[in-house]
Amino acid sequence: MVPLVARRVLITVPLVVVVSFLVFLMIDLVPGDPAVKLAGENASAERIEAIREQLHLADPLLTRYLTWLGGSVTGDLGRSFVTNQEVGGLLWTALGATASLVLVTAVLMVVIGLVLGITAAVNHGRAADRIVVALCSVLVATPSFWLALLLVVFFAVDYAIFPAIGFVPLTEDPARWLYHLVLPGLALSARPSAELTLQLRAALTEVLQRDFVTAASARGLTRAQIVGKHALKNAAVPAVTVLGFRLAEIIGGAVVIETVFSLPGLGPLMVQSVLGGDVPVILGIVVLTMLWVALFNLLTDLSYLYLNPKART
Amino acid sequence: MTGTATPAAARTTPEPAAQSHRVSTMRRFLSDRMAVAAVVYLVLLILAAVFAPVLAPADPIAQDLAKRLTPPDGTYLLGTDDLGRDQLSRLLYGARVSLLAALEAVAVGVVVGVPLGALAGYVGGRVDTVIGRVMDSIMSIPGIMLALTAVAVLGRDITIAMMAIGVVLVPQFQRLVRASTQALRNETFVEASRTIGCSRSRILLRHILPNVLPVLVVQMSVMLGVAVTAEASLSFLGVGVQPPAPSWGSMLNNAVANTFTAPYLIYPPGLAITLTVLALALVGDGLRKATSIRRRSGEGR
Amino acid sequence: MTEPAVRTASVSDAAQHTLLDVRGLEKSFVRSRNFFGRATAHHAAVRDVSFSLAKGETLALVGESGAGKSTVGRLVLRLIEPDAGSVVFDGTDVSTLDRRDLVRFRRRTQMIFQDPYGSLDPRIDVGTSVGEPLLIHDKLPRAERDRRAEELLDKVGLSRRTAAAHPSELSGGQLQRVAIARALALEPDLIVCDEPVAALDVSVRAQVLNLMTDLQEELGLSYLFISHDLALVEVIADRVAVMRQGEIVEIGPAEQLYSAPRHEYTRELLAAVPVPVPPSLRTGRVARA
Repeated sequence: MVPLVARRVLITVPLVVVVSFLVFLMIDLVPGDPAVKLAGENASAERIEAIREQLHLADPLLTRYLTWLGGSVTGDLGRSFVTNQEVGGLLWTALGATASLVLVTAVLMVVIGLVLGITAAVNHGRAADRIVVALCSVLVATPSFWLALLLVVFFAVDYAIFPAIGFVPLTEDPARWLYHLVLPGLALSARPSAELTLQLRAALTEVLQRDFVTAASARGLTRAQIVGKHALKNAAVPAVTVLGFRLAEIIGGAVVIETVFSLPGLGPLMVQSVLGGDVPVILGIVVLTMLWVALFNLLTDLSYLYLNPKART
Repeated sequence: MTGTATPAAARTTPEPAAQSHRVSTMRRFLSDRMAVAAVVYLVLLILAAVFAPVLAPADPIAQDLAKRLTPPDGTYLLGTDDLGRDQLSRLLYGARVSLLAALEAVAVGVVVGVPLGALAGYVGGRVDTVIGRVMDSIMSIPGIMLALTAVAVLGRDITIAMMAIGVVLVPQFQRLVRASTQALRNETFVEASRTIGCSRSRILLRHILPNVLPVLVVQMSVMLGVAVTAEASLSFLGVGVQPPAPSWGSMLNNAVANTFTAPYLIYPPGLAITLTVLALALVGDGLRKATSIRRRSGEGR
Repeated sequence: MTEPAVRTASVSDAAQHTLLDVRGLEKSFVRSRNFFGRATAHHAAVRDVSFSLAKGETLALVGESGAGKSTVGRLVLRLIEPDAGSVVFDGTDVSTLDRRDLVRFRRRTQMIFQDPYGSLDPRIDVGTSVGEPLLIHDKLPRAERDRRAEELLDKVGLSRRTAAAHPSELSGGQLQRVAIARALALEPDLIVCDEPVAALDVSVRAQVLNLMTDLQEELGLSYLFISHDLALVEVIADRVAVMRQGEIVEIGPAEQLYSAPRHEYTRELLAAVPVPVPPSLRTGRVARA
């Protein structure tokens, strides 16, 4: 376990340092006045001047970078150019919505993956199996944000069952929190759920064809019992791996889905910051994203270790 | 090429001829109906993109505010958007933009990833370790995030965004080529190439890379799908293809503002993306199956 | 480990000329590494191996798998670098060769491998593979290479039309003939044969061995013949070196080693030969089919 943690730290820390430095370097290397560039089109002269000042563009590159790095290590990520709020606070608020979305997505992934995966494996080769496989192949190819739009048109516009936009914090009202997250969660979980389903189906089908399963059914166990008792345990390792890695990279997909549903998460914050040249916020989100990915990759590695004792060396 | 090796001397045993593996690979691919359908779709799509100026009924960026948000009818087969632009024309021109953008990203991935993979796989040791660590690092940055950051710093431009996506694709190609190269490096024919005096570069270019090509083509197909989705996502977010240029993603960006009044706008571009990604995956699948059954066919010793 | 230069009836006076002289060869491989990629355990594959090989002679290296025979073969051709010891080929220490001289060395030495299905690039047609050495060393034009490739295929008893075939279309025996043709392309002095017939059917073995001995007589080749099969070695080798755990335990003329083995291990190996070698084969050369 210690080497795994050490390995992740050894990858993540240099990565954060290098990527954030590259951002500073790029700002410097872009031809023209970085302040004008960052301010975007039609920016006022005061705004350009404000950016120039806040980025300390008069200082040398390394000084600027080390100042930022020193601040971030102590938890001070600076202030937003646009709203002048503390970046740390902005990120913390946004992370609440994003984490909520990912939590709902993760639950949906497991439920959909298990239901469809088991259905397909138990009906191996029959119509149900083929329908599940075809559905998953299509879902894997469908862009999540388009699926989100389809869900909005169907459930919010045509039938008005679920809200198309908005977010209620969990602490405020758990029921409405979930109510607002159903559609975004479905959209975001579709693709990874499909992958998980196919993974589980393959693993379960393989396990169900092994000798001990035949022996178990000879002892009079029903298929459901066999799946529950033996097969799932054997299929768990690859499934958990898929789940973990998908949750690590889902932060990218969440950006787009949050924008569709106007969830106040990291996605809209990132897009607004990109459009407004809000470098401190962008840097903060980039660092947070890398930490997120590292954390979920680490959790995946650890759960693999836990589920597969043979891997403990 | 019928490979009949008629013995010249009596001491050679006559042995059965086999079909050329190129021919049989092709035959296996053609027997996969889904893959063939996918190829047909992709060919039609490319033709549509190339001949968009001929095929499109209208100028894709010409606005006609009098006809804004016209649902599909006889004149506007797919309707018009909130600026009165013909959606069919935008879809056809959008295919160009979307496919070219995807190609850019995959090109970056291949051009950087393949040599790094061949190098790491063939040389091994410390070089491999260092390249591997860098690839691990790149893989822990979501492509969308990298593209957004690049656009923020370097300017709002689809090429910049797709270059960033290309960077994220590099490890996908590097890992594949590395693994294949490592496997091939231990093949006898590579050692045999050394004994006849082949240089390292000749072994890599003439003997290893051509044998990596089949898996590489499969990977390119799948990664093109990833890149098409990435372009659509970025343009949808408004940081990819910039208005008024049409791309499938930017069309959806435009459609989302009119979800309630003109839901018909969201179907064609989304369907085009989904079908294209699906087709690329199916072609990749078909190629994988057709090329994986190969070699070691000579049982008749 | 010196012994008098041995001559058998079939070897000409050229045998007196030493082509290859190997002294004190050592090689070990890394068995395990730690987290940082540093080697933590080694395995000695070749220990203090010395022998010499005369022009036109066949020396067999025999032993069980893992005895280090193949490693010796690769060390001789400098496909891998030795930890210690020297390989002197025609008066030149192979380890001192620079890149250019190494290429020159490569044209005089060749190797034939055990796996006929794997020793040719599957994507390249047979003619091109056979002609490739001529491109690398002599920069011959395509047409000339193709012509030479067909001649070589003819020489090893294959149809000239085989040149257009891909490896996957040929049998093991045919592929091994192609490998021999390719090895002959540059008219080398030494061919290291690593279990060249072990993967072939018994019926095809004799044909390939016959071809090899015929070519040896015609071209004055020297063979370093690596095999685990003592019965096979007896019919092709002038001298035999028995290897165990990386060391040569006994080396001597074939007849002497088979009739009066000196080392215990050689006796064990001989006792394990499943079928007694037929008297007709004991005379020295392969019986003509």
